[in-house]
Amino acid sequence: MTRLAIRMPKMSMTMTEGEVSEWMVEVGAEVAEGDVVCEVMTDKVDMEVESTVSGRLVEIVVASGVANVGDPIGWVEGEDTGGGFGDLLMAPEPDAAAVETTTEDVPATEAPRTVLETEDAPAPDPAAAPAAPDPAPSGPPAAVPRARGLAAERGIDLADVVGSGPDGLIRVADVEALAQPVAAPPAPPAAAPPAAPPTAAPATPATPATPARAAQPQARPAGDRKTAIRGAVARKMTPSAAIPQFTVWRTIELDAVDGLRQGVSWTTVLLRAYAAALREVPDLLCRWEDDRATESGPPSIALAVATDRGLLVPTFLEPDLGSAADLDAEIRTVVRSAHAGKLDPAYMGVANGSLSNLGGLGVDRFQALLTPPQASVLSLGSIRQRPVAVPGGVGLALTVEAGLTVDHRVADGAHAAELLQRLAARLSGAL
Amino acid sequence: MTDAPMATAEAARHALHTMWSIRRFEEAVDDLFARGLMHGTMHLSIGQEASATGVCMALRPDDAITSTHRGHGHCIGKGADLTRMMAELLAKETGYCRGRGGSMHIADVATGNLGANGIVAGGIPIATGAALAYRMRGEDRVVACFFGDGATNEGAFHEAVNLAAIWKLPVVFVCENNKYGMSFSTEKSMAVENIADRAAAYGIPGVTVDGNDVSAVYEATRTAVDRARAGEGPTLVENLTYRWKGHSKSDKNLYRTKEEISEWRALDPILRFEHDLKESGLLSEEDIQGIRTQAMEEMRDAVRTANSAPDADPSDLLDAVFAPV
Amino acid sequence: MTSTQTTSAPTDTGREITYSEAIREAIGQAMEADERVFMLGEDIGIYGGAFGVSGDLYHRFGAERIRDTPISELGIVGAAVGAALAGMRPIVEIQFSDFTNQAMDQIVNQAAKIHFMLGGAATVPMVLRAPLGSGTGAAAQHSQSLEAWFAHVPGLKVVMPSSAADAKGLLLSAIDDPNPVIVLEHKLLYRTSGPVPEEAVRVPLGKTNVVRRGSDLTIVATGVMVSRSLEAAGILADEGVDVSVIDPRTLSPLDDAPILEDVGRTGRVLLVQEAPGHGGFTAEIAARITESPTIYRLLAPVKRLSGLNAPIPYAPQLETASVPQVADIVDQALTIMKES
Repeated sequence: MTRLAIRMPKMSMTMTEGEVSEWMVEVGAEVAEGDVVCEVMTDKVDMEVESTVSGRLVEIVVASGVANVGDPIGWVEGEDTGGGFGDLLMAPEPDAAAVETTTEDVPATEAPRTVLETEDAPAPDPAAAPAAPDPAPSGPPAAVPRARGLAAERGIDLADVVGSGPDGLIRVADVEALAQPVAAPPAPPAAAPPAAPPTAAPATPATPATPARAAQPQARPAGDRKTAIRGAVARKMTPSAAIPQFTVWRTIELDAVDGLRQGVSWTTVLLRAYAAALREVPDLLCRWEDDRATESGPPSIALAVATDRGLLVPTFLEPDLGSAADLDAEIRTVVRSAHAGKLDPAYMGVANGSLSNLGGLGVDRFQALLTPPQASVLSLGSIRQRPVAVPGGVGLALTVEAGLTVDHRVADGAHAAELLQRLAARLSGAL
Repeated sequence: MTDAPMATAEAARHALHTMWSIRRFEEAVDDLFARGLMHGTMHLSIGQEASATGVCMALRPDDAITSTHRGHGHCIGKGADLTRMMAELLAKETGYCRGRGGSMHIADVATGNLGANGIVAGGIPIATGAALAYRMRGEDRVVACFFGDGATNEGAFHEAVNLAAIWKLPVVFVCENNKYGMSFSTEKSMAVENIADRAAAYGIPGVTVDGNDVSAVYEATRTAVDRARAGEGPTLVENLTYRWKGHSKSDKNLYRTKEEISEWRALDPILRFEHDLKESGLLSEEDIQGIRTQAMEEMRDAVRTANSAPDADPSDLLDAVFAPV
Repeated sequence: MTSTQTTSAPTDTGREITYSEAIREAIGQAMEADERVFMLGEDIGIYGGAFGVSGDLYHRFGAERIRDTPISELGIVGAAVGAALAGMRPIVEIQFSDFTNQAMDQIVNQAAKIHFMLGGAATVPMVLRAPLGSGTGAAAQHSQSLEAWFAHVPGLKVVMPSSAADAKGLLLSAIDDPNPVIVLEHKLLYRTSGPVPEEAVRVPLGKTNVVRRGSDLTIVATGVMVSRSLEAAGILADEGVDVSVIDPRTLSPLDDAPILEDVGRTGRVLLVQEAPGHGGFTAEIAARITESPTIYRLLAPVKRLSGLNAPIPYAPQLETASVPQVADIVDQALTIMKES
């Protein structure tokens, strides 16, 4: 005589447990294989449980309530006829060595390999899908579709963009680096104007961005401000290449104002003079928008500050209105914080003109590029004594080479000449 | 093709051993499933062992069968290996179908089983086609096509039987009439008394047999097989039998009475055959007990061996979608 | 005709035969070469086939091997499955591909899966041929293009020959293949002619054919749409648009590499099929383009030109309006060029 289990049977594909609701036989009763011994509620139906063994019911383990599939719910004393096949899988077998191999080689949880290839089945001639083709001379440049759409909106030719992605894939960021968001809703691609060929601009505070190919095409390391600033310059300045612009030059004598500036920096002096002159040439206080020149408000001048982190451009609103000394102090403070990589939001306004001074770096003259939507930018070289023509011969004068670059769409050469004329007048007279 | 089950002691042993192997296999499946150790669903043929055994004994090894969702017995009857069958059900790489088929598709092609089928009547036209192939090649092989009573209400049955009839193909259509197409009784599902009556519509013989009498099944099948092999065309053999268990595992048996199940359990084809053997003196009680023990031990070994095999490997799941060109 | 892929070179004789004759020639040559090959179907014997494809094969090979059957699609496809399983190489003709519906169990649940279900232990080397498509006024139940159904079922190979040479070469490969192969023949192509090699030249399954190579736009088309696309290509050339025309030929398994390569080169793609667009086969090609790096080369959205999502109507003008015509292909191509 052996104790034989009546177990909670699995009675549907999904059943993991069952709830015993009622026993039909009492302890002590004789049961035969196939007899109904109790009722069980499952996830599908209520089922009758038949005894799988014959003998005397000696114990009811689960009189009512839930039991897991396979758990004993009752015990019968009877003959073991060898039909407990499940025991072979549940109890360790003498031939345990063989059993051990079952779980080692193939983890049961291992999911089928996801097949990313497009082959349905091993083909006789397995030609895997080609990898991203190298940018072929015959095909369009490889670009993320969204980047392609953005380029079309911005009128940027993808051929001019260097992709930072794998195999030179152009990403959205690469296009954005060349595109300044425009206020107007983007024109549909079909109507987008063809991009102007990029002008060969000399080196300026901003050069068209060509992001270096990262060794790993991943996001930039956090905190790489220098890289971020380059990107910002690129985003701001690249659209400049699409603007028809010209530069006029004038040598301005500064001896008169030098005697009056009382320690105020040349930058402050020139910034105030430029702003004041702009008020007198209102054509230059405009921006080109919706195919027409629109007034852009009072002078608001961006000052290019070269820091070791890159170019920063704080904007000074109507710098000609306050005192020179106050502006000078203000500029020093702002420049200091610019060098520290910080900029007060008050100086982040939209400018309608820029002042760029490379005189401190020994540059005599240079051509600045317009920063859209500004209509003009004033470039200043070094301020020093230079030979000048004086009555009866050659003398020395403190001079600066000033270049004014103007958006030809809003103004003409005469306007630029007039501004330089007024600037020169201010600097040779009273502040 | 062996002698009739009662013709020789050897044939008797073979018949009894086959029936016990089927019974034990189904019991093992039942137990493993009930313990939550086996996946899927299964349709057990306990109570129908005489049909599978008698039919397969009337076939030559190179004859073929097509089988059904209740196909474990046919597979064993045709000579499949219990271990590889059990391995299939336990989702092992060593299973007949490498774990891709499971209960409803286990088949040993090498022993002439052209496949079990999850579609009711799905195998019937296939049997006709296999018989057509043998005929066209001039081979004298026969196909025994197993199906249930429910399948005879499918169009496929009528089309396939008709084709086989007009082409006089070497096929034996074996209907295992266990009285229920899932829960739908034959009384409700057809207006003729016997399924064998349907043969008349196709101009072929139809016979109704006591499907729990392995000898009667053998004789009827043997006659049909001989006719088929002689080029006289198909026969419809109807084996009246009964499944003790539900249609599948989640069958509450609400459509039939406990009394009916008990009546049929009393007509156990194996005990009946053992009784006949002892009566005839062909086998002794010891012989019979030996066969029972042997079948039980073989089944236990099959479960153990199958379970120790490596699980079916999903990494090459796509390999057998297409046959290599 | 560029032959970057394996296409049968036109024979020296320059012999041209019809698509229908090419199929018959393939069956005849296969049956001569291999006793296991036989054909079964409705009215393929003395009648010569609903579309005349079997023609005189009945007189050449006899009733045993050109086996006329009752109207029993399920029965005959099942018989082919069984015969194939037992070592023969049956070719089933279904009169209209619409009638595969009656045999779908045998095609989808049996033929496609037996090899897999048996763990690779048995094969079902059968061919099912059926005419598909509209253009004959046969209306809704005799004009469908159901290729996407079959291509969706693992285990079935699906072929759509678009020329007489391919009809012969692909069918010969299908007969050789150890798997069930569904060959969908467009009924409008049966009477079209083209150069076909006299010998039994195989066109491999699973090899996409770049029929024409252009630089501006890639057209991928199946079945009768291949010849329509080639005609459109001529008109487009006059408009200064240089298009590629690519015919996958085998829908499953699909050889997409040449398609991806060409689309990557032109940056524009138009996918043309007769079947309704919704859930159609070209959606698979579109998906493969968009899930591969080829998407980064696109200059324009992937465009599909398909039949209407409606049953095929009877009236000729309605029928014509239901599926893409040459002018539609030209218009779509020009639209893509304009918008990119």
